[in-house]
Amino acid sequence: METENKILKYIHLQMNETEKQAFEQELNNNPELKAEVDFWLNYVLAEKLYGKDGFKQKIEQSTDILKKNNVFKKAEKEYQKQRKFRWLKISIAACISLMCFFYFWKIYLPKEKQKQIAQKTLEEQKPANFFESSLEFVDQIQGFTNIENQKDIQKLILSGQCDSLKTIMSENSAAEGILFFYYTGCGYMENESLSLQKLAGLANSENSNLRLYSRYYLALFYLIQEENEDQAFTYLREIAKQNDILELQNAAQEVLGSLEKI
Amino acid sequence: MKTEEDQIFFENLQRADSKTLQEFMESKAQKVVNHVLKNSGRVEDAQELLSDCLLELLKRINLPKFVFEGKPELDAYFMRIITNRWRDVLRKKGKTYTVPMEIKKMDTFDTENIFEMAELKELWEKVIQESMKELSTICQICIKAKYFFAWSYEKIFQTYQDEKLNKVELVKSRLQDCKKQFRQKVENHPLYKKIKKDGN
Repeated sequence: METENKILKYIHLQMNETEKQAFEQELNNNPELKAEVDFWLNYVLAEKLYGKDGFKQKIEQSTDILKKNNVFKKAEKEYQKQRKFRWLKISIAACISLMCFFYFWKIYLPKEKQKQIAQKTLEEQKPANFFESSLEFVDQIQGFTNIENQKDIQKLILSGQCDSLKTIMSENSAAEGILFFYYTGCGYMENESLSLQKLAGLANSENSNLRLYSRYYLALFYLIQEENEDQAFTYLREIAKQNDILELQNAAQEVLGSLEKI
Repeated sequence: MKTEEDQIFFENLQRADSKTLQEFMESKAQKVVNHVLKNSGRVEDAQELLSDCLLELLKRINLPKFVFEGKPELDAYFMRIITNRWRDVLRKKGKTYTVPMEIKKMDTFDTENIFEMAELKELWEKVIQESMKELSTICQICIKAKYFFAWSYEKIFQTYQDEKLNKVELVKSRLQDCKKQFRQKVENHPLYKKIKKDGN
């Protein structure tokens, strides 16, 4: 009788944890008792699941209610909506990636290269110090035959007396232009905005040498700063075509050649 | 960690309370439909799968060895039954199956073939029910009262007092006799040997 009660309590889930463990231990040691328990457990489960008003019937009733409330159809619509939006999300992500790739490949990279070439050219042409660049200037200034006191200027430059140079040059408008060009263009932009302003002023000078030099440096600085690029290319092409200053013509052609490779 | 609310929910589910069943099915419908539609199925398959797996879950949670740890664990357990069952259905149909990430993560400890187990259990339940029907009405009453409703002998006697059960002692001896008959009927059932063979 005791065993019978234990079996009933066990199969009806009425044992506490300690009782259950003890009984399961007993079941492990007694195969006959285990077979008996399994048999009645299966009977109870079969009744619960498939008997009159069993679980199966209840589930069927609940399923009918869900069907009636269109729960499954709503779930299907929701799924399709999710799928639709998933593709939309994937498409948007793909478009953004393509745009980023396009920007990087077609706009960012060429601009970076263009900037690097202009910077490199300027670096190569940058005078090591003020005096060396002054020597170059002496050669250049020889081209400007209409400048008065030309020899005095050359001497002052060669001796590095630039402050005195300023005073002399201020008396001659063309020479003043060359001085500005020298300090701002060849002086390599220590005050960029002022230099650009001065160079831009000289870019339309009547003096062709002055105009070409200022346009050349202006073009390089425009390329580095990524602004007025069309203007920069126009200047470079113009310089590359002229035959007056060969050195400048070669430099412009080299820069243009490098930029066209991009 | 199970809360008191979880425990109440579990007990209601264990005895298949209609409202709890319906709420549970409603809460799982979307997940099951998503899973089935994503894996070469139709909405009708999802309905059937949900019912079958819920029955399987009820069966399992009514076994003494089942330990309820909390509602989230039960939800995960149910989804595992769903995915395993659907995988087996597809395998039988020869279709491919994608295991969802969250299932992959938790499917590390249970590799039991639920589908075949369920088939075996259904056969077993059929044997028991059919054998029961072959018993006399009085035996069916006694067995059902004692083993299904866990009534005492006194209660059976008081409820079904008739000429054949007019003493408590008679109920006891009748029940012993019915139990023997029932087990014999089960063991002689044509499907019983198949179950024993497959079970082993």
